[in-house]
Amino acid sequence: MAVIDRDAIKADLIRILTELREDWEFSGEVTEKTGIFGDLEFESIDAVALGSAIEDHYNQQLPFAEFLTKAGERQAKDIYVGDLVNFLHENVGKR
Amino acid sequence: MGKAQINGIEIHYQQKGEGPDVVLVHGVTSTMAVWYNQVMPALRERFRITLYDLRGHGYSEMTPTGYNTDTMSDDLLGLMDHLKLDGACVVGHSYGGAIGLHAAVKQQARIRGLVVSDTGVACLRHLRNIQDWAGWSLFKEQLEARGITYDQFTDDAERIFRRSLEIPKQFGLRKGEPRANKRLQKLLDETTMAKEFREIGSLTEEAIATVRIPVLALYGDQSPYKGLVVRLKELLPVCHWDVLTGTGHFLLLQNPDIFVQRILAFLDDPRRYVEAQSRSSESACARPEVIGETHA
Repeated sequence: MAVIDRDAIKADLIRILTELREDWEFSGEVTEKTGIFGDLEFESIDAVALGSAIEDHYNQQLPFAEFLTKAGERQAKDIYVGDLVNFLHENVGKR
Repeated sequence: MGKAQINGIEIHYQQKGEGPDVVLVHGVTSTMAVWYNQVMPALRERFRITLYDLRGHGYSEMTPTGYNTDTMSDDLLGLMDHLKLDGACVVGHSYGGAIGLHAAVKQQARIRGLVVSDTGVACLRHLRNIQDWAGWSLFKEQLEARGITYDQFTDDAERIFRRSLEIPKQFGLRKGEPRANKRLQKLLDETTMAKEFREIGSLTEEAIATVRIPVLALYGDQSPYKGLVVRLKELLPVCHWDVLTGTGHFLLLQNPDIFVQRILAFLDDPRRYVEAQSRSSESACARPEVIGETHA
């Protein structure tokens, strides 16, 4: 599988987020600085649904658990859209 | 993300990985997300994992009633029908283990093995010690100042659930933030979950004693429920129990490496695992108060 351009991944991610959260109360523009828990008010189950939707979209299993473990190690309090784009850019297309 | 009509309601489920079937059942006021830290990623390397949200939880439909283990075990068996799962192992945490146990009472031929993870069972409630519950230590002084005794408090499950929403998140990136959210609040405000949670129904000690499938009972040594494990072992003829040191009720989050190691060993061949553990501890009669003990 070819490695996908970062901008294309960002566009994919924002579209998947929008599809998942049609009823969200967040009315601003989703940018790389948008926090999925703090701004989009995701609960854990929403993050699970997001992860699954991303895996389905790219037809690839992705190391989300590792990603979250690393976020925990650096004591991150939120996952930002930019973090996810970077993670996907590093991992999508790699088997 | 899959949704299916099961037992008259919409159930949200997912399947991951390939191999023999394993169904993961979460506890009340939780969601399938509880398995996502390390358990599901480790298991899906060797098994096909089915995860679902209990009714009223996560993305599954919220119904006004239907939260006792009788109805919720029908949900589980209905999902297994829908997905054509026979010979699956079931792993249930907390109330999820009681749901799995009730499913085994009804249709044990369909379940290859059952893991109960720090499960409270309504008919064994007298063996639980809520003073080990994190919330009791947190609210003890406030409640006693209002003249509410330990016994009065523990008689009211709904009050415990409402109080538990005030306990900050204990795990994950959002540790320390409020646990309450709109969906959990709705579950308590608009359903009979908190009342039905303690219904014994047909999940009696006599019914549990009919279960002949292999069972692995994992409990935390700091859990309110650890007192149940000896009685479960007495009731279940093919059971190995293990009390994990330094963990409370959420052993799968507090000690995921050991939790995964224990259940992987069991899931490979549940009957052989329990029999082997039994042979290696033939004279075992210690009670689980002996921290870290492990016995078949």
